[in-house]
Amino acid sequence: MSLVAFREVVKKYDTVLTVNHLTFTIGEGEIFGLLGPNGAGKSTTIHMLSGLLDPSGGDILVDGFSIRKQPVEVKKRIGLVPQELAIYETLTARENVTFFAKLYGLKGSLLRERVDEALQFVGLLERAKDKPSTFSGGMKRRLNIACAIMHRPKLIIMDEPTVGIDPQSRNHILESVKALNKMGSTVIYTSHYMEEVESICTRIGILDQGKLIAVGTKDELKRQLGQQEKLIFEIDRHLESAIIEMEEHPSVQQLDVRDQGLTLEVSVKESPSILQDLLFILQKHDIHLRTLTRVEPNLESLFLQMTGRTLRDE
Amino acid sequence: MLVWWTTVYYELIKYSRMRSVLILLIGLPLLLILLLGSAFDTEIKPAKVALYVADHGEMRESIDQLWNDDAIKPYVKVLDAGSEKEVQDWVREGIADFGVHIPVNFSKQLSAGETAAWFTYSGRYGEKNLAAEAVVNGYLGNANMRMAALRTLGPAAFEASDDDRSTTQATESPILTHNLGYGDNQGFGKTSALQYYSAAYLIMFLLYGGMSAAIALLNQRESGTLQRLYAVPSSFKANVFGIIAGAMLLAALQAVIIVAFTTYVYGVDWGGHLGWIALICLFTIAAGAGFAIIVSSFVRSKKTLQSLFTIIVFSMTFVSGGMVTGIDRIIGGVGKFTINYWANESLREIMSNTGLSGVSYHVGILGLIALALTIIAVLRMPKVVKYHA
Repeated sequence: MSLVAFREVVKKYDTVLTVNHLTFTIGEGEIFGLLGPNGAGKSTTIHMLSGLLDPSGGDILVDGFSIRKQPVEVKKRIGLVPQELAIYETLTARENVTFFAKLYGLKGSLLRERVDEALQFVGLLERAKDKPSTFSGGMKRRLNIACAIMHRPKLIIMDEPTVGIDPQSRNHILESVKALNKMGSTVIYTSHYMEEVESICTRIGILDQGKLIAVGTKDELKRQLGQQEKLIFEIDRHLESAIIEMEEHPSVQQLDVRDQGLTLEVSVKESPSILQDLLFILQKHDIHLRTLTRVEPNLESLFLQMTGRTLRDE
Repeated sequence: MLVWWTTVYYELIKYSRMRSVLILLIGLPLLLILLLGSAFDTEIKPAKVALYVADHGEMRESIDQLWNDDAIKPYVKVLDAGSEKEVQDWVREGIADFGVHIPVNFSKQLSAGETAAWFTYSGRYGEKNLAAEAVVNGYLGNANMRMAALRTLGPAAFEASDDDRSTTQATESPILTHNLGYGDNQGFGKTSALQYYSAAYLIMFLLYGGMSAAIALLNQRESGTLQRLYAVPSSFKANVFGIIAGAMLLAALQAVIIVAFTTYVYGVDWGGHLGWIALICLFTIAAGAGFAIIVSSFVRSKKTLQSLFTIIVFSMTFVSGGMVTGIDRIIGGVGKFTINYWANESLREIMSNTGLSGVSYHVGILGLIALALTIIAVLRMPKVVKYHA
C-alpha cells in the first residue's frame, strides 16, 4: 500500500518548469532515495511535499490526504529534517525539541516522554541541557533529526542529513534512519552520497531537470538500463591476436587497452561463462594473468549513464 | 493562541540569552542619553561651600541669616567646617567646591569702622566659584555700603592677602544672587538637554527594537527553522506573528527600562501621562517593525537589512533633530517626513506640560504612519517568510 502518491505534480516559476509532471508512489515502510544533481528539482519536490511550496499543478497524497486540500492532516504525518541545521543556537537541545513538540500539539507528561525519547534516540539525552553552540557538526545534525521525530511521524523526509559531518556521526545517522524505518516510519532520503543511498534505500528515484527518469530498486534500475559489468585484467605481455579473439566474444561490449597493452578493461554483458571464456583465451595464448579486478555497476555510473552528469555537477 | 504564545515565549527566552543584543538595545541608549544630556545641560548645580564662622560678635546673627536664607539655597549648599584648616582641606580634597572663613574679629572691625574682609578659597569649577562668590560679595557689598554711609568716608581700602588665599572685600562691585539663573538651553526648546536626548534616543532605539522583528524572521529563513515551522501542522501565520510579537515585546521592555532608568537615575522628567507615553512607544515599535519588514522584503540577507535599516534610522534621527538641535533651520521641514519627528514631538509636548491637544495631534499622525506601515508590511510579508515567493 502506498503512503505517498505524487500525481502529475508540476511546479513552475514564471515560465521555468522546475518539476515536470511528477508521478510516482512510495510504499509504506520503504526507505526511498531521491537522487538528482543540483537543480534537478529535488528540493522543490520536497518543499511541495512538506507544505513549504504550493504545487502549480497536480496533487500529492500522504496517507490518503491531499496536500492541497488537507495540508494540516498531511503535516501531522510528516517529520521534516531540512538540509540546513534548522535548530535554535540559543535554546538548549531539550528546549529545541520541546518547542517543536509543542507546535505538534504535544503537552504534559506525553510531551516530556517524547522529548526524552527523541533525544535518547539520537544519543543526545546526556547533553539535553547544553546549547547547540557547544555541539559538534554531527551532534547538531542529530539534534536536527530529533526535532523532526518526536511526534512519531509516519513519513520522515530527510534532505541531505549527512552534509559536512564526520564519518562516525554519518554512520550514527544512517543507523538511525534504519532504526526509524524498523520502528515503522517510511523515509524519503536525499543525498549526494551514492554509497549512502545504495546502502540504506530500498528503492531509488532519479530526478533530472524536474522529471523522474528512473525509479526502482538498485537491481531493477541496473536491469532497466542494461548496466555493464567491467573486468580489468593486468597481464604479463601484450598479444594482438588474443585481444582480437577476446573482442569477438559475443558478451564483450567494449575492450580498452591501456599501459602499453598490459591492462585490458573489458565491459561485458551479464553472462554466466564470460569470465571463464576470457581466462581461457589468455591461457591459450600463453599470457599470464597478474591481477583481475571485477567492477560492479554502481549508482554513480548508473547516474552518469542516464544523465550525462555526475551527482555533484553544478 | 497557544501556538502564538508558545512562539512568543521561546522568542523571549532566545532574546534573554543574547547579551550583546540586550546591551545594544538597552545599555547603549542609556549611555548616549547620559553623555549627550550631561554635555549639553547648562543647569548650575548648587556649589558646596565649606563655611567656618569664627566671629561671635554682633554681626553673627546677620551672617547666620545669610547662609540659612532660602534665596541662596539653589546656588550654594553650606557644609559647616570646624576650623579654617578644615575649610582649606575640604576644598583641596574636593569635598567642597568653595571655602569661606569668617575671621574672629570681623564684627569688631566693622564696629570700629575698619575695612572688613572674609577669606575665601576657590575650588576647581569656575561656575561653582562664581555662584559662591556672588553670595559672599552680595553680603559684603551691602555691609560695607552701610558702614561707609555711617562713617561718611571715602573709598574703602583694598588689602592683598597671602599667596595661597584671596580676600573678598567690601569695595568690590556687589553681584546680586538673583542675577544667577539658567543660561541659554541651546535649542532644546521647553525641555532640558537630558529630556531632549532621552526622547530622541528612546525613539531611535525603539525603531532598532522594531527591526529585531524583521531580523528574527530573516534569521529563521536563513537557518531553515522557518521552513521547519512551515512543516508543522500548527498555523504558520501564528508562528510568524509570534516571532514578530516577541521582538515587539522586547522593544516594549526596552522602553519601560529606558523610561524608568532615566527617571530614577538621571532624574529625567517625562511629564507624567504614562498612557500617552506607552501609546507613543507602541506606535513607534509598530512603525519600526513594519518599516523593517518592508525593507527586508526587498533584500535577501540579514546583513543587508541591518546595514540598510541602520542607515535609514540614523538618517531619520539626524534630520528629525535627534542628534543636532536646530537642524530644521538648515534642512527645513524634511524632518517631518520621519517617524522620529512625530514621536519626538509627542514626547516633548508631554515633557513640557503644554497641554494634551498638541500631544494628541502628534500622536495621531504617528498612529497613522504606524498603521500605514503595518498594512504594507502585512502585504509584503510573504516575500519575507517564503524563500521562493
